[in-house]
Amino acid sequence: MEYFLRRVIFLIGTLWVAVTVNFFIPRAMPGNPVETMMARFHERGTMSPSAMKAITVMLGISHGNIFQQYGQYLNHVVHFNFGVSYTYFPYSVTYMISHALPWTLGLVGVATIFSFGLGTMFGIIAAMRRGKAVDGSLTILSSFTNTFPYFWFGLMALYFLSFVYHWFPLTGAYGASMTPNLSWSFIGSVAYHGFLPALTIMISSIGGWLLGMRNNMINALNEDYVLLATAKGLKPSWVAWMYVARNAILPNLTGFAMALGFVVGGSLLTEIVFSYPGIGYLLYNAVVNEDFPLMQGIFLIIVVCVVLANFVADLAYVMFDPRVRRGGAS
Amino acid sequence: MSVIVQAENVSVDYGRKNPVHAVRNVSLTIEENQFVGLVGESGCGKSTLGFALARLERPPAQIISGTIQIVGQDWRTLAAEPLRRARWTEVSVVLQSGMNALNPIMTIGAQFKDVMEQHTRMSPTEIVARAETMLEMVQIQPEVLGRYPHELSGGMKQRIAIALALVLQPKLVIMDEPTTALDMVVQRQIVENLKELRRQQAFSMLFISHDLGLVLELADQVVVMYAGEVVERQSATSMLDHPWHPYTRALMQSLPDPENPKGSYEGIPGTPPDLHHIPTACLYAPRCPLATDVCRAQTPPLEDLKVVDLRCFVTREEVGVHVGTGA
Repeated sequence: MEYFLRRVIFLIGTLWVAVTVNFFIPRAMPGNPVETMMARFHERGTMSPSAMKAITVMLGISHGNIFQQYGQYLNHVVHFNFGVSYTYFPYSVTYMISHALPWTLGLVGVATIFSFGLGTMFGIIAAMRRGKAVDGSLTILSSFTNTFPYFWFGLMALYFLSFVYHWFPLTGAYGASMTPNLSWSFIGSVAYHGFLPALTIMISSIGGWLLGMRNNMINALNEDYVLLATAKGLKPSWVAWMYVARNAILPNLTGFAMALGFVVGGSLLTEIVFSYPGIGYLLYNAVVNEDFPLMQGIFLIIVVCVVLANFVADLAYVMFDPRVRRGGAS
Repeated sequence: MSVIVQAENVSVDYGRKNPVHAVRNVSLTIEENQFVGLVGESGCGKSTLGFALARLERPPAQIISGTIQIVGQDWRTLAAEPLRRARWTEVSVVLQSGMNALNPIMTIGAQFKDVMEQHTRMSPTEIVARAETMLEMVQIQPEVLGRYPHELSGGMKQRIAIALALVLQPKLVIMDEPTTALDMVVQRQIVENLKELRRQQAFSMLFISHDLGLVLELADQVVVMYAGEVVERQSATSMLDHPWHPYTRALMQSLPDPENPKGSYEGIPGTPPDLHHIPTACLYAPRCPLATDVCRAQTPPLEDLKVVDLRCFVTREEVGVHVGTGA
């Protein structure tokens, strides 16, 4: 319980720091959003000072001192009010993020979970058959897929499978003629559109999980308690799971929780390559259009999710590793 | 008395290319309820032999020859599944450091439970009762069954490891340096515990240690190994009076003697030989104060001299005189 409380206090502290940094960084940058917007309109003709004032009001830029701004900002943050997007005006940042988030969560989340699950499973198999053909081929294959850039694999897949052979769609998350609903045909279309991007993410990340798990397994196999488990005449599958794999997976859980946190950030390049309407694609558009409120909103969401994922990982660790349980109390 | 273990000419190598001949042609017999002590310095092959007998050798170690008869079955040729079923019910082991011998993420109770579940048809209540009895035998409270290894002290973990080794009433327990990682006080408790256990439950033991004093106290018979071979074997009581092999004598000399007013004891100069290439000579000769030209030119055989099995050209004559005078 004390452990839990300490974790919660730590979580709140981390969130506060993240939110505060997110507030100060844009303000430390030269220029302001109004000037940026004016500069953009200047290309099409001159603007009057009243237009500048109008934009200021429209964007809701405060003229209070920095502390008042900070207070106002904190108030807005807890109400999920991140202002208005410049690029997608008049839509709010919250609206844009809430429409991109489900796609990213679905695509990258599912891909990450599958990648972790399969990678861990193959890692266990490779370690239990170490030195054999299965181990050799799995290890070499995953070292190989681990090294090539995932956007390159995405581009190749897109070019050959979608552009040349037309097996898969080129862009989007679902058929252009469809409206999102819960029908089977729509879900099918989502799966069809998501297949290549998900495959790209999985191919590039599964090797890391596999190699990590294999190494942890091999370390665990040399532990005395595994030797004793063999001496006890326990069934090989029981030894492999309860004595080796469950100990070997612990270091990987932290990595997995971190990866889940980063899911929200989207897989930037994958989403760009496949024009997938997720957070990564949104962030890319925000950056090229200098859409500061949108960037700020996205960054904040990413940071919050990473911090939350860490928090959940800490709690999960307690469930899986009894040694951490009393760590705080003693 | 029936024979529990009959190992003949067991040899163990490490590696295939340029192997280290860690154990060479060792024969060992352990009878029912007999405590056999296996002594020697680090690298003499005593643990390698112990693990090989329990078929727990790990690559690159491999048994290259010999037979290992345990309760009528040849463990060297036994298939994986019958071997698995024979494990722990016939031979159990206690490892050097109990700290790492218990699975950190399972409770003590779960580690008693899995072995009983997979080897017997005991009911869950019987399993708990049996585990509690075993803990009682090593003077540990039954509440410990719900604890995790990291919550216990090193001495407790080692006593739990011993209780775990006896849970299925095996014929033989192999203990590999069970007290080495513990301090003297805890070591003493464990030794007293073992003596007490012996009164309560019948089992044979192979006690592997570098501590000759400890082995002489616990064992009925002592086997001294040097550089992968047995150099001397006799009963503990007679070894105490007459250690024959120069190496055994040197080991005795290196024991701290509380009655020695100077409080000094002697080490053995030199280091054990490289076991990649076995020379034709007594392997102990380079470190032996009694070594002669014969020792450096021929390999002494392990001879049965009635009172002792001995591998020495020099002291075998002394044994002859000793036996001849009827002392």
